[in-house]
Amino acid sequence: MGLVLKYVVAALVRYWLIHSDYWQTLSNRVEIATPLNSWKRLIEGIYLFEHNIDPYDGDSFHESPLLLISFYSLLKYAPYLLPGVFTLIDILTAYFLYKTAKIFVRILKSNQEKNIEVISDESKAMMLTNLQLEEVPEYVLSVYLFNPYSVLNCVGMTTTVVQNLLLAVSLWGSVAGHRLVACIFIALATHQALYPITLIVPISILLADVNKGCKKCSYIRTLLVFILCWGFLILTSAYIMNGSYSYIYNTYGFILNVPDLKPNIGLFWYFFTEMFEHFRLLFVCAFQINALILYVVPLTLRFKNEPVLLATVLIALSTIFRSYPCVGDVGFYLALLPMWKHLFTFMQQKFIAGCAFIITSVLGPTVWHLWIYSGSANANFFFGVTLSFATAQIFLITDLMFAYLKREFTLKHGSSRQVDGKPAKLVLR
Amino acid sequence: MMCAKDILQCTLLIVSILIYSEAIDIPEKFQKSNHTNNWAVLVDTSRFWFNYRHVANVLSIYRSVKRLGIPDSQIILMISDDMACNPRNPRPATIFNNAHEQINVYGDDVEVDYRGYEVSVENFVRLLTGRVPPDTPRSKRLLTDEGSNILIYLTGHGGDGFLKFQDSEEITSQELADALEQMWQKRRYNEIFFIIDTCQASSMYEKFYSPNILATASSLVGEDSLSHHVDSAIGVYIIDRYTYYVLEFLENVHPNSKKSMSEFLAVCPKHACISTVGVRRDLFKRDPNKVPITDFFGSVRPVIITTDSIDIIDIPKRKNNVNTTQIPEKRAYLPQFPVHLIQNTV
Amino acid sequence: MSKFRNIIFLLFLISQTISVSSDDFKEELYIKPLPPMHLYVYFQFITLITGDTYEHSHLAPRSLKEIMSRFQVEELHLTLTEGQWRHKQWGYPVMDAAPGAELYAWFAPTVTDVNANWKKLSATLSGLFCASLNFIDAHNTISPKMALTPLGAMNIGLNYTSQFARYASLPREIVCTENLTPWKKLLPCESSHGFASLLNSRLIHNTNYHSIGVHIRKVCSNNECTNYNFEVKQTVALVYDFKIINSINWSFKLLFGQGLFGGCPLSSSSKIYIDLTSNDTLPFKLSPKPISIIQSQRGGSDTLLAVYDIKADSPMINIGAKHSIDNKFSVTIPPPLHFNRYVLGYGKEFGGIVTEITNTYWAPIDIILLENAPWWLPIQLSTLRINGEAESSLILKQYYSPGRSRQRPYHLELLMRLPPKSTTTVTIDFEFVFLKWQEYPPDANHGFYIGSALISAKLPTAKNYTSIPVDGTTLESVINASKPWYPAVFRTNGAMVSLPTPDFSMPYNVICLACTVVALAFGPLHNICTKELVLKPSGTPISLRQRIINLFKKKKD
Repeated sequence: MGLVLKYVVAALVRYWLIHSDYWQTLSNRVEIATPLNSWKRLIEGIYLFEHNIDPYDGDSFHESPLLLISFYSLLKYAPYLLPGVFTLIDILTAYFLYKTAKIFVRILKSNQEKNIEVISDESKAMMLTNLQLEEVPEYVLSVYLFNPYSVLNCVGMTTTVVQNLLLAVSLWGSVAGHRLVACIFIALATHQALYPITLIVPISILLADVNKGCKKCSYIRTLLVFILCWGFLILTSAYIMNGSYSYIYNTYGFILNVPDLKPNIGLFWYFFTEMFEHFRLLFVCAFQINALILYVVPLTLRFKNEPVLLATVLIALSTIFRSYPCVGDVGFYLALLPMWKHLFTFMQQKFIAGCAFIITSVLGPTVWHLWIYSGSANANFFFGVTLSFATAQIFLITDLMFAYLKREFTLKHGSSRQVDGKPAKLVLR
Repeated sequence: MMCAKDILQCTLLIVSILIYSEAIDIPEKFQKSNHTNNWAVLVDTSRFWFNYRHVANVLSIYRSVKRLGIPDSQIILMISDDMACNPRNPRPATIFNNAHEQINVYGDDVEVDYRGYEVSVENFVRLLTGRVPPDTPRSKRLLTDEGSNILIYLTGHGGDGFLKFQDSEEITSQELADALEQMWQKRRYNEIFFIIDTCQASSMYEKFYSPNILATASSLVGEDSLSHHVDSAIGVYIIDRYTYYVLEFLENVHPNSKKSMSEFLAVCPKHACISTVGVRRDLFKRDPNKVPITDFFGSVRPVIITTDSIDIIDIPKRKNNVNTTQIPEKRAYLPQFPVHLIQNTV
Repeated sequence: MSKFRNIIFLLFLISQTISVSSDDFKEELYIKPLPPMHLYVYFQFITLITGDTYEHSHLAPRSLKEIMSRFQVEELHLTLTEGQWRHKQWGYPVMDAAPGAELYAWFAPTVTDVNANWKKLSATLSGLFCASLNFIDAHNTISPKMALTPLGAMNIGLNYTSQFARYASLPREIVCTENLTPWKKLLPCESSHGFASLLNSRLIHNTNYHSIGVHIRKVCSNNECTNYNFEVKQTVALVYDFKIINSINWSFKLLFGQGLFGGCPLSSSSKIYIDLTSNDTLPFKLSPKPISIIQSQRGGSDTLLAVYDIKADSPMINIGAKHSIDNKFSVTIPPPLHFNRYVLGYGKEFGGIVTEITNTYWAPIDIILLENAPWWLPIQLSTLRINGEAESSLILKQYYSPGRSRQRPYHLELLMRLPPKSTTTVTIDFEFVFLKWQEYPPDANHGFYIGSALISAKLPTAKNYTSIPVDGTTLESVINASKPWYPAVFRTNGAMVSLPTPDFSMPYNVICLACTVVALAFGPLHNICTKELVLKPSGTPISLRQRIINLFKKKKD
């Protein structure tokens, strides 16, 4: 009953906000809508498509042709459904996250039972109880449904709403062991935004873990299915665009090359505004490697036993470092964090990160108004806010990983920090 | 018929040139220069109305070199902003060197080769070194050769070791010295006379290392180059001190003048300029005392008169284009509005 | 000596005049009072090149002929304009021009790489006219589909699609003496004789509107039009403000600083036309008396023209007009079509461009509106509204080519039928673009100019219409030239926006700070991935004092 109430309330809030006068303002906010995902651009793309002008000819549309055609038909046949559709997609996302969390809790529990012999005696008390575990999915659900970031994202009717659903379904598919579902949806997400490609690593590990049997065969099978799906999507998109592949330059090329420097909550816009032209390519490459592949291999090696944590961290890192992030992306990975509620006690920078989130969320729109509308501030103010927002997110994520390591260590070696009876410190070596 | 007429024209032209050139002879006391042509690169690097005086500076020099005989085709004039037709100028199409409106340095016959945003460090260095894009028209190229004497005049806002362009970028003294060295290696000049009127101007020529450059600057390092006076009618300073006195001096120079470069170098004593005029002579091989001022500011060319007969051969006629053999095509005026589109839709 | 020299000079002149035989040069001056406070002065110098070879040039400027043949240009129009023509108040000029520099051309269909020729053409013209036309590039050039039609005689057999047309305007371009000087040098008499001697730069730049232009086209040389001649038309349009010249009575001495000392000896006709139509509302007397007064009826509007025929050896003439003292207050009747354009919105995030077009005529008027937005002003076609409606029956045809950042502009053409006695508002929204700091001009906060929109109209009436019919060359062809409809291409006023700017002074700071944040993630992640947690005995906790003492102790070692 409580669950249904949550869904209903969240849906009503979203639906009402979309119909309110704030919608126009919200859907144009730089924090919510980027050149990649904004509703305005989507409409422009659909309009051009409708008038037989190639939407990828110009510079106004950067979504995938699949999304274009689906929203085109939606707008054509049932435009009145749109607010409902966006609300529904977001509620579905929450639902799939809830399901994911439920299965994840089961996996966590079984892992705990499996590893019971390595847990030291004094840490036995730290083991997760059923009661603790049962409330995790509810937290995940509540955070996604009522987190202002996700709500605003849905109200802004950005395509990130769809992106979040695709990610949620693929996560659910992988924890539930449905290889095809996971692969199709991660391929769809990759096709739309490119960055989710990193998630194929945790997903294949998860699928291999859940579906018992030959691990290597499972990895290969997952990868193959993913590549086939992705290739199929690329071909289908080209088919929709009458065999033209020019959309690739306007979607992946746009994401990778960062030609539009409209401010957003990420790190790219001001950096590449102020970059010297002859260094631009170098830094674009460096930043994209940083966002896409730099951390995948080392983190995989480190957290290969904990693929869900790996997925969470990779989603968060790619959100922080992607070229056009928005609050919708942030809201999504924030909803995954309650799954690691048991790590919170080991986290040291919760307070700092939390305060920074709140302060930057308030300051961001303020300094934006001062810069763009009242002309009494300049670009540096907003840049400063986005920098601190990114820093807060980085603190949160690295802290989560440290907390995981500390907990593992504590489970193994007991909670007393002593070496040969002398007090000791936990350090990295 | 056509050919005969052309030859007639040519001979007439040559004879007339010979006759005119008789009137000009180079005074004996001067050292002979082996330059064959004169060029001038005159640059104002400052934008914005309050830098009116820099435009007046550069136009003063432009006016003088043009009067002394360098043709417009051999003067590259770069002006960063439009002062003459600026809406703030109450006397459109004029720029004066004096609040009493004595000399309109802008004149009625002016050709600005680089203007507005075109005046950038890149374009300036490209111009000097000749590395311009292939489509660049003649008037934007410095088509000098090893026999060219070049007058380079720069004015704007400078600091120790740099000169600002357009208030947004700067050229350093090292870059300028390297550009001149490149010119020397490419045999793009015979001699250069370099004048700069900025604050701390002499810092710009200190790095020069190419031969045959005589350089002078309106101020030494650590000194400001000051403006002469303000015109209350337009509310800005109207000309810089150094260039004001240079113009005053050059107004009394005529193409046959016997004035020497050393007189030019002493044109603005400290009590007039307030800043100290810097001169660098070590790269220049000739004695400025014996160099006529027209070697740089004028366009006096040595003329050899020959008494031998010259054969003017008949130039072979160019082959006619295919055009002439073309079958006449039917042409017509088109309707000036796409009427067919309206008829289709209605 | 000097006698001999004079003889040579004479011989030289004679040899020049022998070769004059084939070209034809005409100069014309048209003056029209624009009541109540302005005076329109329009010069046109027409050179007809009858020789079809490019090797010999007689009266026509060789430089222009070379440009035409080298880049295979069929037709070329270049105008350099300062000020804004006020159509509502002043009616229509003979030739309209966009503020700043405007260049458009048609290339021969044999040209393979039109863009390369266009680039070379603009670069060459920039050298010829001392204008920054070399800034014309792919990112500010469009190929008009409907709005512009060649004025010249075109080959019927060949298909002149818009791919051979190029249009660009530089609204920021300033126009001053340095443009007029090379322009004058193209005339056979330069500025020494004839009407061009009236173009005194100090006075003509002290006007409300001044525009110089060069228009080259091909005209039929016989009735069947099987052969063509090049026509080079150089124009100057000026609008004097009586407030600036401080008198409502004008004369050549007041307008140009001097009287006219005869026509150009090389011209076959030098004529001055003065429009007397406004004499009804604001009566004035011409002195000296005109040679003849012609009445012209064209498309339902009567025009009275006073004509002066100037000979090369005419004595100095100072034409002037004296107004009678009893000034009647007159209301100017707006022309059949007038328009206005402005920018909407506040802040530097979103905005819109509005073009208001008013049809004051009793019948519908067909027009083509060409909006040409630079790439840094991305317009969104989905926001196009005609009178506030997304779907409008007024649009008969539409063409849109979306822009690409740093590559090409946004180009929209609308063929519309304006209902009688109505105002049509065309609104389109745009978003401000954030440029890279090196892409901003040195005066970034001055604002960015948006070029004019083009309005090509099919006017049903010749009211206020002064343009020369397409098959005519001189102003004489205007007389009694009634047609079923009258073509006209107008330019709306330009606009200006101020784009958001970054801080130009701190590129290094930004680079360092952003990289620091990336490093903040890299450091801990590197630690997590490469190091393991161990317990390290920390010993007894030491006090701060002890620590400082330890620090010094270490130094001693």
